[in-house]
Parts: sequence; structure tokens; C-alpha cells
Amino acid sequence: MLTRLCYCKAGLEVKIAKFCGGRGALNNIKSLNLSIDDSIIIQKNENYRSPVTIQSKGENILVGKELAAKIIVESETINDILLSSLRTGDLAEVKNVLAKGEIRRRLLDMGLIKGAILEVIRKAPLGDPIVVKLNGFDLSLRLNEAENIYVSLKSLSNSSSKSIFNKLKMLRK
Amino acid sequence: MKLPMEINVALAGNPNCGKTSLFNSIVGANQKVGNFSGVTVEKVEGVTYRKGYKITIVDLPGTYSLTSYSPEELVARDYLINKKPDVVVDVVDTTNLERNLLLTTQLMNLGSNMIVALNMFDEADKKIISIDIDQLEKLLGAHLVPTSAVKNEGIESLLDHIVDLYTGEIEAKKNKLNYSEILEERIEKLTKILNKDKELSAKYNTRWLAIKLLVSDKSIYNLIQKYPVWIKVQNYLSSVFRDFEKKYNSDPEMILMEESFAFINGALKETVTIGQKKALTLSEKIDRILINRITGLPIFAFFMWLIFQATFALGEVPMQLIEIGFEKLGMAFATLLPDGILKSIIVDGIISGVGGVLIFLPNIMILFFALAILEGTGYMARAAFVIDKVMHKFGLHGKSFIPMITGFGCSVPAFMGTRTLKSESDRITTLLIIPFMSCSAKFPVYILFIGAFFPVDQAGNILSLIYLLGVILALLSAKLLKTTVFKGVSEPFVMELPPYRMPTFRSLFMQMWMKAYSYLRKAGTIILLASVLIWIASNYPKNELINLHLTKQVENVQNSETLTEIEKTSKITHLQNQAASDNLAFSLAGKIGKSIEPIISPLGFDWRLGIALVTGVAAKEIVVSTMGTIYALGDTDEESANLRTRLQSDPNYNEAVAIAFMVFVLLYVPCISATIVFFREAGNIKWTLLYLGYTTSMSWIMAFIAYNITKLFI
Repeated sequence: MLTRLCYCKAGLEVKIAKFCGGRGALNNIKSLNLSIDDSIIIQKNENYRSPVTIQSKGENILVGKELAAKIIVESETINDILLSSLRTGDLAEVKNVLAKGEIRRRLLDMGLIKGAILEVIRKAPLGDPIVVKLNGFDLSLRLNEAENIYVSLKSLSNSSSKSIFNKLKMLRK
Repeated sequence: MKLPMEINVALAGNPNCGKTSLFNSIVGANQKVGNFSGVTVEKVEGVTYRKGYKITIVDLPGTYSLTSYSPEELVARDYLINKKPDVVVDVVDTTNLERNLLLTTQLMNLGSNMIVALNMFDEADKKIISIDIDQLEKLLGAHLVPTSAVKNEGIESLLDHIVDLYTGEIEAKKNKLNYSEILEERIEKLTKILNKDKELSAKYNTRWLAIKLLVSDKSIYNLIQKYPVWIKVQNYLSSVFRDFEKKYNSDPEMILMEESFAFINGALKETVTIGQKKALTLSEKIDRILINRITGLPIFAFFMWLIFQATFALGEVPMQLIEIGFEKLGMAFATLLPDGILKSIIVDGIISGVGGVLIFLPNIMILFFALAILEGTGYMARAAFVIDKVMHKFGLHGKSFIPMITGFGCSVPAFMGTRTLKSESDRITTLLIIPFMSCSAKFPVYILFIGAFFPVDQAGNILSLIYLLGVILALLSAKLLKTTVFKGVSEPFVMELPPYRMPTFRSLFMQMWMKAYSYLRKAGTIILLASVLIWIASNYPKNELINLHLTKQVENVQNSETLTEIEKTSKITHLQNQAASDNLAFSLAGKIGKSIEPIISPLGFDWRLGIALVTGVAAKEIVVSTMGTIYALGDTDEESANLRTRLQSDPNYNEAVAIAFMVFVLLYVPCISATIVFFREAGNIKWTLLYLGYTTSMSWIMAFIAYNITKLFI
């Protein structure tokens, strides 16, 4: 299944399927000497926040988090990730809610139970909280709270890049 | 047996399901606001009549569930269990049944005599949702009534159902929600254990208690602990939890919730067909603009500015009318009544006291109309969403922002605005820091002292510094409170962003009116009493000698042959002002002001400033006019050149004293009206004492620091 490099945990061996993002991102990827169909092994991916260390062609490479999100890879296993690291537009399934006490109760009441399908639809102007769409309604929660929820990717966002500049580019064409 | 002709109905439902609008449609203006006993959760009750029955409806607070975490949920649950209403109307948002029916399943567990109102049915129609109502009724074991509060549809049918259910004309099947074997087995066992206690089983639905025990509901634990059966229950429960951990790697709570949602999803699959969905709903389109990453903050700032301007700039007009009206009324009474104590009490005490209560009304009404629009349209949740990151840094909730900026206008509506905060700790923290947001009544004090002691080119900077100091102290205090008094009480930010809706004018108006009414009834009376008392304190006791002396001197001036008429009038005014000054100094307020001199002298304040601070407790506007009276200048305001020059020429005062005094006024106890409203909103004398102590000590400490630092520079 297709996933993002930034979602893959250490130890996985994946194949690069495609790149998304603007020209700048593509140039960066090129400079890392990565190309489509390359097999890479994830060495380190802590908290899904800091840069991802990958091994490609026998070399260890550090890939920034933003860039790692733009590298789409083919992977046999899909591991659980934190809801807080889910990218806008990707669809995921809730696997576990680790929160305790009141927060857990609230999250369960809102329908964040195992098996619920959700999508992060936007982030606040300052980056936190986020808005998650599930069961047909919009739920906002802080990244703090989202860090207590494990989800697994169901499908990637269908628009490869939602950046407004790309849309403008498309229009011009 | 003949049934009483009065039916008690409770209205339960999720937040944003249109419950309040439905309530307003049912009862109209026949409603009153109170508090649920012991908590500051608003209880709105209304009455209507149908088929000869009197129907009393309580609008329970909106909750997603009936656990015991938030005070709202606890209140709603306790009401349902202890008051046992004849009929429970569960209001659900038909456009979002999946989440709304969770509460319905919990009401089913409770065994309530329930009717489900499919509210916003008209909107569901638009979204091309078709519902097999008969089948859903069978599954839920409750009658369903489609309603639309906005279009006023289905209200009569709902009332008919209530009456018929009460009289037994129709029946509620009261289905039990059946869980899977692994849960049912334990629920049954636990119910059996509980049933052994006769007292417990007579009083409560033991199956419900068993379910609540399995989901680790704290308040039910506390309840059962009081019964001897607790030891058995405890032993059994701990074995169940171990079991679940080992066998299913989960806990009963999670599994129970999963099954509740599975039941809901199953029921909906069977009964609801959703037609073609639009790619983007209107709400999504609006959100793309209103809470977009680039425009989100500017639009938020604009709306906040708009509310502030509307509340205080627009409110200024009716406020002036009230002021002038009461002045005229006072003058009318002054001419009617004979001179004496009675006239003085009526004109200066009562009439100006009532005026002082009503003066806040325009602010309160406009602010709450605006807040009702924000809540009703759905922007309120978004405003909190946009600003939450900043507020969260200081331990506050995004929703604290609006009451805080309202504090720049006036603390009274600001305190009342904290009602939108659901968590106790957030609400109390916000209440406690609002006084540091410099209210508009303190402004004249700054103008007077800055004008007297600082050059024009520095005035703006100093004024900004004062305001900034207030904001910084407010935020730091919030952080301090959240790490001490409310340590460990963290309020999660898990909030629905409801679809945008057009609120009905009736609903907006009712919310505004209820707020104004509750202010007048609850705070207004005490404020009136307090302002009369403070007025008495600043006028009594009287020293007859001062007035005798005045009369004699005025006579002397009038009889003088060397003075012209103009000189005479000015001399007499001067003498009268001097007498007013002496009277104030002799009054109780004056004596208090003088007696606190040792306390305030380290700040550079003399007894005159002391008296001004004491009278300022009545209202901050009075500080400046008190200064005028003390200096025997008659009526003065902050622009008065002669008051300014008097302050400048007084050897006791300098820049350091001016700064210290402004800092003190910024931070010390807000006026008596605000204090009373604070007490009402905090609902507890403990918080009120903390508020008085905190503001007073903070003002002294900060003024002391400001005084000594400024002294170094001059």
C-alpha cells in the first residue's frame, strides 16, 4: 500500500513510488540522490517528528520531516502512527486511544473509538489545534490530545498537493 | 388513580443540536433562569399548556454523554436520576444522528420514559437523508417526532406525544441496549450483586449502576462505597478489569463504547439512506475563508474588534441617555422634596444608585446579543479554535479570550461572559484575571495623572505601559493559578465545530433578555444596596460645625460692601467647595481613607489619595471627582486644568507617586458592582475572598515596585 515516508517506522523496507510537492521539494529530493523505484530502509523515525534517517544505496541519509511527507513509498506493512502526525487530507482508522480519565472519556464520547475513520481537514492558523472530520462532523482537538491517539493510514490524500500555488500553476496551464 | 395535571419534562441533548431554540419555540417567553443547586450551571425552566395539562420543561445543559466528568453532565444526570421527570425529550440533530444517538443509548440504559425529537428535520431533508422512522422507533424503543425549531414545525406534535405518553395513550417500549456476551455476562453478575442490597435496588436502576461501574464512573463508585455491598462489588470489579486486560487487551469502557457505536451504526444502516452528497458543504466553504491559515487570525481580530466596538461605542449612546435621564429625575425630585436628609437619600443615594445599576444594562445586552450570534452561528467554537494556541500557553482555553477583551470595556459584562466556559477551573481563572484588564472607567485616572506629571510626547507610551502591565499580569496570573490552585486540572480541548447556522432572532433576543433580566434581579438589587451604603459612608457622619461655619462665612461675604457681585459668587463657590472637602474628610469614607495612610505611605500616597481610593471602590469614575472635592475644586473631571495644576503644585506628589497611583488603580479591587457580579458568577465566597485578596495585594506590591523604580529615574 502507498504511504508517506514520514509515517514509516524504523526497520521497514519500502520502495519509493512517487514524489509530490513543488519544484523546490523535487530539487531537494534530487539532491539527496533519491529516485523512483529505489528501495530504502528506514533506520530511525522517532516520534514521527524529527528528521527520518533512511538507508539508500548503502548510505545513511537524513530526510527532513516536511520532505519525508512528500515522498510516497510502497510498503507491505502499515504501522500505527500518532494522530498528531497525520497530514491534512489523509484518511486514517483509529487503532487505540491511550489518553486517561476525562480526556479519554471525551474522545470516546465524540466517537473516537477503535475502527472509526477520520481525516485531518485543517490546522488552526497557529498550527494547533487541528480539525478532524469523523462521523460526518468536525471535531477540533489540540495536538497534545492527538498525541494520545494511534491511527493507521487508510488512504493518502487524493490531491497530491493542495498548495494554492500549485493550483494557480495548473490554472495558468 | 387520577394523574396530576402537571407534567414534568426534561429536555436533554447534545450541544449544538438546536435544543435551546426548540425550547424557546415551545415555551416562548414563559421561562425563568436559575441555577442547579450547588453549581453554577444555568437551569432554564419554562411552562406551556396542552390538552389541559400544565407542562413544565427543564432545559438540561447540552451534553454529549451522561458520564460524570463535567458539571453539566453531572447536573443533567443527577436531575434525570433524582428528579425522575415524567417524560424525557431527547433532542437530536437529525443531520448528525451518528454522534447524537450516543446520548440516546445512554438514556435507554437509564430506562427513561423517552421521546426522541428529530430536530433540524428540515435540514436533513435538504441533505437528502431519508429516515425510516417506524423502524428506528422500534430499534430505539421510543417515539420519534420530527421537529424544526427554526421553522416552528413539529412543536404541537411533540407536545401531543408528551401528553399521550404521560397519560398512557401511547407507550414507550423502553428497549434495553443489549451488549455482547462478554459485557452482558458481567453486567448481569454485577446487577445481581447490587440487587442483594434492598435499599440500593429500591432506589436505583441497578443495571444502569452496573454499567456505570464497569466504565469506572467515579461518582457511582463514590455512591456504592457507602453501601455494605461495596466489598463484593469491588472484588468482582477488579477481577473483571484483570480479565479484560488479559483476554482482550482493552477495558470494559472502550468495548462498551465500541458496542454502543456499533449499535448506532447498525440501526442507522437499517433505517437511514443518505443520498448524493455535495463535494463541499456550505460550512466547509465558509471555513475555508473564516479559519484559513492566512485569513483566520485577521478575521478573528476583526470580529473581536467589532464586538468590542458594538458593546462599548454603540452602548455609549443608551448609557448617556440613562445617565441624563436619571440626572433629570434627580433634579425633578430635588425641586419637589423639601431640603433635608430624606431628599438627600432619595436623590443622591437611591436615584443615582438605580442609575448606577441600569448604566451597565446597554453593555450587557449588546455583548450578550453579540455572544448569542457567535454561539448561534457556530463561530464561537471557531474563535476559540483560532486563538487557543496563544491562550493555552498561559493555561487558558481559547474561549477565555472574549471575556478577557471585554474586560477592557467593563468587568461586569466580562465576568458574565465567562459563562461560555464550561470547565470550572477555566472559568474561575478567567474571572480572577479579568480585573487586570484595565476597564474604561479607570481611563480618566490615567489621563489626569499623566496629564499632570508627564510631557505630551511621553503620555502615549506611559498609557500603553499601564495597559500592557495589566495584560502581562493577567496572563502570568493565569499561569500561576493554573500551576497552583488548579494544579493538575487540565481541561481538554475536544470541541465540535458545529455547522454554520442562521440563528433565529427570537432565540437571540431571548438569550439577551434572560441575561439582562438575571443581572437586574440578582446583581442589581445588591448593587443598589451597596451603592446606597457607600454613598452614606461618604456623606455621613456630618459635622454640623462645618456647615455652621459655611453659613456664617457666606453671610459675611454677601454682606461685604467692598466686593463686586462676581467676586462674591466666586468667593461663595470657593467656600462651598471648601466645606464639601471638609465634609468628605470628616465622613466615614474620609476617616477610612485617612486611617489607611500608614499602609499606603510606602507607595508615596497621602490621605487624599487614600480617600480617592476608598471612594473608588464604589465606581472607578468617582476617583477623579473625589480628588476634585478633596482639593475643594467643586465638580471636576480629568480634563480640569485647575485640578491638574493643584496636583502639580502639591509637594507630596511627583512622577513616582503618579505612576504608583495609576498602577494601584489599574490592579486594585474593581468597583462594588463588579465584585457583586463576580460573587454571583464564581458562586462561592472562597473565590470572592481570593479575588479581593489577590487584587489588593497585587496592587500594593506592584505599586510599591513601580514607586521605587520610578524614584530612581527622577
